[in-house]
Amino acid sequence: MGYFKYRFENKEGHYYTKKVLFYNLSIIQLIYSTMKKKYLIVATFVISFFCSVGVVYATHYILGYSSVDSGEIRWGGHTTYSTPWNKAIATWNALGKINITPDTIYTYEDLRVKGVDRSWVTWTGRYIYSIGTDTIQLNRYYLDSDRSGEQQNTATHELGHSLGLDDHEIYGNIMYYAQTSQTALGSQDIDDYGYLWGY
Amino acid sequence: MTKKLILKLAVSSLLIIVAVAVALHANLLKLPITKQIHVQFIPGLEDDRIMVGASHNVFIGKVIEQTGSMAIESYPSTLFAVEIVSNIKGDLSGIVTVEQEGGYQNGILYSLEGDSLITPGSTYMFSARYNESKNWYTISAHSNGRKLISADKSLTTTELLSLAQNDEKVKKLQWAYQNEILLDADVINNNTKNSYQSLHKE
Repeated sequence: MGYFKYRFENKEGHYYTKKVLFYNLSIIQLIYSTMKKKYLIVATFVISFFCSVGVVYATHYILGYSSVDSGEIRWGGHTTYSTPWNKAIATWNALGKINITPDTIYTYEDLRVKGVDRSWVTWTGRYIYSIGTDTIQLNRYYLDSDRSGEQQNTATHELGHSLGLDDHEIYGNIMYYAQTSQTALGSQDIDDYGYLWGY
Repeated sequence: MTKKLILKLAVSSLLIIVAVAVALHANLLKLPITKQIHVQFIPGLEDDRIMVGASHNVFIGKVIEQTGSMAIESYPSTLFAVEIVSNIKGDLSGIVTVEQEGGYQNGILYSLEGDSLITPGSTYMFSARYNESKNWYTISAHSNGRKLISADKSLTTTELLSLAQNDEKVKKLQWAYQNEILLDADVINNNTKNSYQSLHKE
């Protein structure tokens, strides 16, 4: 038994893969050859049923772009939330495939982080992809009154976007569309990262 | 090909390029390109009590026209004139300026989490926060913060008011206002405008 792997884009623009399980054709042929004709139709229905049950959907929430350049993200700028920010970087770097590291005078700045004070919006942070340096804005209006776990959640979430991960509504993950106090990656986060950059 | 013809072609091409560049810059020419801006929303906005608590004003308004677009720190915002039909939270009247984050810049549509630009002529329920320095109301891009009441621009204010009064979402938000949950950041910063508690002291 094995599976074919297809890549699709749904209506919301999210990419996902569909793994279709299949059974070794030689085994099926062997079963068929030993079977009486009258059971052939029934067997076909049974096998079709199990094949359809075996269709596994593995949805991936990815943007189709990222701040990653040659296996790393060089970041610059400044944030007052340096501890949560550094912990957020460590969280993603622990997965080992993409290195998020500060920019130097010898490297191109892929990502810039900055604080903004926007009392009139309903977001804690945002990521803007550009042709040049991408931007993460952390909204001090909300983050200043948040606990460190929530600040880290926002920093990790926005860095997730810079790695090419999209928002979704699966609670228990960093890329859940709204702020939580979760600081560790969830299974969907790890799966989406692995899909993009390798397991 | 004569030199005169080549010169004519070169000048024509240059004029076309300049015209396209000006049209793109003025957003007269809209390219079929959308750039997403990804935000992390404050928690709980899917709960009506938090959505109303996180808003300074919740109202039904008819979009009259787009009045402008501007770039805030390089990213576009669009301004609209909105005629107030009724209020759920707050006491607005007449025509107010509503800001929607996102919009066209150099012909490219910037969209906050896929949020579509509101349409002139249509009437919506809006959840908004007041921008004191600009004197306008910034509407939330969260799906629970807005509802199309009618796309029919020929309806009168009385007809729109009747539609709004019978709308289930409006009724839910009216209940939610009485039970609103304010944001910690607003309480700390003394920015709880039009809170139910402050306007309904016994």
